[in-house]
Amino acid sequence: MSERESLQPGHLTSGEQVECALLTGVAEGKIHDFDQLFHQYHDRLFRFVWRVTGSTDLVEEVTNDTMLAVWKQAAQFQFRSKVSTWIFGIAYRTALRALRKNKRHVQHRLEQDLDLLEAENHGDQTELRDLVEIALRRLSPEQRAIVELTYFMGCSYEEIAATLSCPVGTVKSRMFNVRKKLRPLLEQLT
Amino acid sequence: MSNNQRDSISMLLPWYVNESLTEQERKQVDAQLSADLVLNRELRQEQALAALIAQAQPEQISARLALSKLHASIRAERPLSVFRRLRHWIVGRPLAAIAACLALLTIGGLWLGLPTSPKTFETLSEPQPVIEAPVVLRVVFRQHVQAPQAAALAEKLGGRIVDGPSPNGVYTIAPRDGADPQRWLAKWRESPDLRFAELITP
Repeated sequence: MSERESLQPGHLTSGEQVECALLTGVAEGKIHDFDQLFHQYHDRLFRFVWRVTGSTDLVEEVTNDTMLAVWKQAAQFQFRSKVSTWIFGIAYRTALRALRKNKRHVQHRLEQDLDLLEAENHGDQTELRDLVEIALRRLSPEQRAIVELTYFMGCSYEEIAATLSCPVGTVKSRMFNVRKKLRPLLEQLT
Repeated sequence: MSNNQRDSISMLLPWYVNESLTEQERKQVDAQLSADLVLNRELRQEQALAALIAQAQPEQISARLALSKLHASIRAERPLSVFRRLRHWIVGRPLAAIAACLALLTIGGLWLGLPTSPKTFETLSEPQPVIEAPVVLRVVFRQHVQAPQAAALAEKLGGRIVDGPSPNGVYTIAPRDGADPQRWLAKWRESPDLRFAELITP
C-alpha cells in the first residue's frame, strides 16, 4: 500500500470521510445511504464506463452491475483504500467482463461509430475534439481506463495502479504507449 | 541529464498536468521544463489533450431511472443477502468462523446444563414494562476537529464518545441523560463543527 493510498482519517478529505460513513451504512443494509452514494458516483461512473467500453450500449448495464456489487460487497470493504478506488476498480473489472462477453457486437458497433465519425469529419472541417475521440476509440480498454483516470478524474499513477490492480510501472508504460499512439494527433494540438 | 532521465521525466507529464505528483517529482519536472524547449512543447500538448478529453460527454441516461432499476435488482437480491454475506464472511475468515461455532456450541452446552428458572414472578404491584431501545449517534466531525475537541464538543452537547474514531473518522456518541433522541440529533446537526450525524440503534 502506498503512502498516498493509506487510509488515515487525517489524510482523508471531508468528502472521502462522508463516503466512508455512507459505505459503512451500505454495509449495514441502509438503502438511504446507498442512494446517496449512488448519486455521488453515478455521473463519474457512467462516464468512466463509457470511456472504458467505448460503447453506449453497455454503459447502463455495467454501471448498474457495479453499484449492485457495491451493495452486495460493502460489508467486505476493509477501508484499506479510498472508496472511489474500490468502486472504480469494480467498474473496471465489470466493464472488461462485459466487453469480453459482447466482444463481436462491441467491435461491430465501434467500427460503425468510427466510420460515422470519420465520414462526418474530413478536410479542414475536421474538429480536433472528434479526432481525439477517434484516436481514443482505437486504444485498448486498459489504455482508455488510464486516460480517463488521469486526464478527467485527476488520479495519481499510484491511485490508478490500485484501481486497475496492476503495478505502477504498468500504468506508466501503458501511458507511454498511449502518448506514442496519440503523437500524430498531439502534434496538431500545438 | 541523460536521455533516460529526460524520458522518465517526460513520462510524468500527464500527472504533472493533473497536479497529482509528489512535491519532489513536481520539482524535478519544473527543473527540466526550465531548460528543455521540447519538454515544454510536450507539456502544452498534454494540457490541450486533457482539455479536449474533459470536453467529451457521453449521452446521459436519467440517474433516477437507473436508481429505480437498481432498487428492483436489490429487492430481488434481498432475501438471499443475509446468507450471501454470511457465506462471504465465513469464506473470508475461516478461523473466526470456527471460533464462532465453538463459542455457540459452548453457550448451547452451558444453557442446556443450567437449572430452569421459574416462568412467572409475583410482585406487590404490576408495573407496566417500559421498553426503550437505546440509541447512539454516529458522527463525522469536520476535518479541523481533533480528538480532544471532539470529546469536549460531545460533552457540551450532552453526550460522551463511546467509540471511535474508526479508520474512516467515524465517532459513536452515547447520550448522557434521557433526552429525546430526535431533539438531541437536531441539536448536534446545528453544530458548525459537524459534517455528518445520524441516530443508530447499536
